[in-house]
Amino acid sequence: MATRKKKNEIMFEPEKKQGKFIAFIKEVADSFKGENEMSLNLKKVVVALLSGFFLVSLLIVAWIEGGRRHVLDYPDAVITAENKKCIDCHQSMTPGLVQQWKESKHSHSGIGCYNCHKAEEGDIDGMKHNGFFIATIVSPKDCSNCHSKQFDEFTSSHHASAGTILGSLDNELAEIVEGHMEYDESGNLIKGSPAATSGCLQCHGSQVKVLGEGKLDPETWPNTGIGRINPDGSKGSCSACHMRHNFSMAQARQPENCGRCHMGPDHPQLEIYKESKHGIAFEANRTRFLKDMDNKNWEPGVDFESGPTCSTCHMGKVGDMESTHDVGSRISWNLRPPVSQKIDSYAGSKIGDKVKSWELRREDMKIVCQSCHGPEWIENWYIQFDSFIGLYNDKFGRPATDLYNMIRQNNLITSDVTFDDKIEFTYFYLWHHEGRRARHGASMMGPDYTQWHGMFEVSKNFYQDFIPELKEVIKKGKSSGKEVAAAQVEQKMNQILNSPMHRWYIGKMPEKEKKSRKDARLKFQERYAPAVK
Amino acid sequence: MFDKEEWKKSVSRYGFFRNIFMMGGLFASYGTLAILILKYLAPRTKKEHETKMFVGLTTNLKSGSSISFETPEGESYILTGREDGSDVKYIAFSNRCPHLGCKVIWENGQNRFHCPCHNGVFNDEGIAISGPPYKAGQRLKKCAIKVEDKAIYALLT
Amino acid sequence: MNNIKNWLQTRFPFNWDILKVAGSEPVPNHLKHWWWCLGGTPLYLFIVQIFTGILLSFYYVPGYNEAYDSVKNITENISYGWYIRSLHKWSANFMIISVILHMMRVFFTGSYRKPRELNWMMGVLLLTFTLITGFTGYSLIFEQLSYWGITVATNIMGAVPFVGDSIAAFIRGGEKITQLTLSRMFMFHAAILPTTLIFVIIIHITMIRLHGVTEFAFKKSDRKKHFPFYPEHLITEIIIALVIMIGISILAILFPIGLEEKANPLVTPAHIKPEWYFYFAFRLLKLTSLTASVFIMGGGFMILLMWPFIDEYIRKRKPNSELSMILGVFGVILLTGLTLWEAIALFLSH
Repeated sequence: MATRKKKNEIMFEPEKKQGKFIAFIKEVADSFKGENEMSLNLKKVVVALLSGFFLVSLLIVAWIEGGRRHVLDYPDAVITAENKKCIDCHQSMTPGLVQQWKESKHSHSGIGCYNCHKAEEGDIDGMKHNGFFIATIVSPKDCSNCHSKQFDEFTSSHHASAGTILGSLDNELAEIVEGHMEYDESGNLIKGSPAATSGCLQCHGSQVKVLGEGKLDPETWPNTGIGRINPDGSKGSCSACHMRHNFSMAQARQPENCGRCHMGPDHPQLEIYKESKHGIAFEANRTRFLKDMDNKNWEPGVDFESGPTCSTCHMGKVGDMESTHDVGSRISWNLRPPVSQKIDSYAGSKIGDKVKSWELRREDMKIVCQSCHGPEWIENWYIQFDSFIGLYNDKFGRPATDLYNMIRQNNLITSDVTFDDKIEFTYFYLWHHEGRRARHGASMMGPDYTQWHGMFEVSKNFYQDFIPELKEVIKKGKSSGKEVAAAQVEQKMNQILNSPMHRWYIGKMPEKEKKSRKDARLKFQERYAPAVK
Repeated sequence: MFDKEEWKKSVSRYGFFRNIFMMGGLFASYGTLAILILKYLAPRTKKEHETKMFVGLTTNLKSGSSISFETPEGESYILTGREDGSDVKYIAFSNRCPHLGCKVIWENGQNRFHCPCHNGVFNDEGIAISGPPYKAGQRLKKCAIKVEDKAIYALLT
Repeated sequence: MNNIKNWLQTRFPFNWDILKVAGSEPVPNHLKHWWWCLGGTPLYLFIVQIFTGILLSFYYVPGYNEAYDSVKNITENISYGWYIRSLHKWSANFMIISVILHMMRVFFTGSYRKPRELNWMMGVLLLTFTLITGFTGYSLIFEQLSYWGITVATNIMGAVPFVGDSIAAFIRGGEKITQLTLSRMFMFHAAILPTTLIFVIIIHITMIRLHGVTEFAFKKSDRKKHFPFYPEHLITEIIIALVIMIGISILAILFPIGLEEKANPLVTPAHIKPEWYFYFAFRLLKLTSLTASVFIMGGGFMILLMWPFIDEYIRKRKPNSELSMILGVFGVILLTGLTLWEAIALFLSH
């Protein structure tokens, strides 16, 4: 049978252990040189060793496979029978739309096209579409079938009433000053203002008009303004923030989401946020946070540690305080009007039948702050904030408004139309743009907006533009037969300018104060090169 | 080819271990390969995320009424809400009669499922109580249901 | 125990002694040298291919729209799918390499000479079928290069005089690449070619056994010495098998096979290239015209196929001539050179 050389037997004797390994290697090497064939015993050992290596490689394979698990766990879109027909066609017609849906949490639960777009008999915006009766617009009322809590909160918020700006000054701007509306003989509107359609109403929300058979009036749709008035009467548009069809929470929590509307010269919340420490912190950690921002709740101190976004403070769950879609629920000041007031009855947020007081709202906001800030920090900050708003109100807001109202009421300027007199633009800028920038800057800790984009420009407007223009109006009034009214206004103006806050302007700064100012200036110039002596 | 006597003579103690290690090594390595292949052939049936399918709202489903739905795999079920004290319990039974596959109908008044083909009858728990399915001791297949807030989901995995 | 044996033997009267004879077949000593085991290597790899191929076909779908996604599913989703697929691909590469190395060994040891000419021709057929199996296999993935590879290959086929267009149409299952093309590729790759290969392999091995293995002597002591197939040579084969398994396993781990872009008939990729074993033909195409390449390759194939007879003629005309060796070396250098040229050109153009 086998031709086993005697020396192989010797190789495995225990006495010659030392030489064994070297002899093993030698024998393997020899067999390659072709001089001595490998003995059978050696081959068996080689097989055992190679099997070991093979086994190790397989274990590595199994280990790699084990590490791959989580890649496979992404849930798929569940396509139910009634939605399949929609998907099959829209997959090729609007593939991006279908892909968005497949990324959404809705699709993982089998909630698809028809679940949301289905229309009931009698819906004025319902239409027949390939065997289904559907509506294009999915209104908050439709969403409320499942998301009723959010719907209730949202509907009672100021967001929902954003579309009812008809009659506001902004509305006049869009429709008369910038744009153009056409009316028929009976005064019915036949054509709206494109400035409103493409501008204001895109954020505020249009009143959607149905032309029949589900077709929507192009002047009013497409529109996802947050206060959109829908054909079914409900107010708002959920997809203003929760973009369709992903409806991603992470996307909705991004500051740029709110920044679509809450930005710009008249209310630069997004820019202020980005200037603020909150915004800087978020930007620095953004990529790391992204994965968790899709969670049901994104709580400071739980899901992330610094850098809250808009939704964190104004909406999100913090500790025992539930999340809310009423974005005004934690805001104590109303910074919108010419003269700021604490939020009161017309804000809409109610606890039962009672309006939620500004104190309670502030307490709720403080709960959020407490996630990261100590009580003294919070209290002191609110004092700073209140003081600033008080300053704006007292120094510029109220005085300018009083004067402005006086000249309008006394017809020193045309009062049936606005914006035809220069001072009307000036005044508008003062409270609507610069004044708001200052106030918002203070509210969200954006010092540059508070100061240079804000109060500096407010004061420049007041002293360089508003007061001089007012003087012109008074002069004109005096020379056009309205001396009494003009004199009244003048008296009021002087009263204001002589008050402690404004008297510096008319050279009536007290001597002591003048001296200490001069001393401070000289000291400053000592430190730095003298500029103005 | 294989002479037992010769083999017995030639094998020493070390030879025995050599054989064991060789056979063991081959067995272990190729055996592991076989296990990996079996895993390859049998894909995981249990998904780590539960897959659920929206069926309806609790507000739309009054006790006694039903919603029928179809899973993406094509199986159809009837979902009914049943009063359980102050709560409502939601159960989904398969539409398909286990006897020969006809569609069963839920008869609310009589609190039973009835199959018109051969008069099979099932009680409100889906257990056959009369007709051919009763004789075979069959019952209607159930679909797991999960309720979250107002939404009723059918669990597909 | 004996009762069971008798019961079986009555019903399956096989003469088990035949196996004893087969097992104790004396293997000439020179086969203890590893270089001589190159014939068994492609056989073992072929068996690996059959196993992994069957496993892959459990999840592969030969549909025009589904093929690519099914391969993606195997690579990304199925447990160990990436491993089985990578084994299959690497094993294919090595099978082709080892077939070529084996052929070179046979050529340069003159083992094709009388009476083994027909066996050589069987071997050439095996090489051809292996290459076609590789081609059809790659087409099944339906990547960009799969689709365009079929396009180029059928265009080349079409240049064959007289029958070219018919052959091309036969490969494609029509005038254009459609579902029928893919179905054909699948049938060839998974059924027709493997069966044909098994059949020709059996003939090949039978002929080897019938002719006996030429006894070679590296040392004087080798001559007339033999060793039994079992257990010595079997264990050698087991060792080779293990080395191969470890090799392709490690390659599958370190260089798992991925997936390029899905086939798009509307977009021609910037760099069309075939699998590496066709680089020589591709380079030839670029150096000469289509017709010239077809003729050169056809001619080359005929030389390869009929080589034993050509060699016989050479030796008859000029005994002790080294011309065969020289031609062999020239052939190897030419093919290697063309392959490397194409490979380097492709590498540089990226």
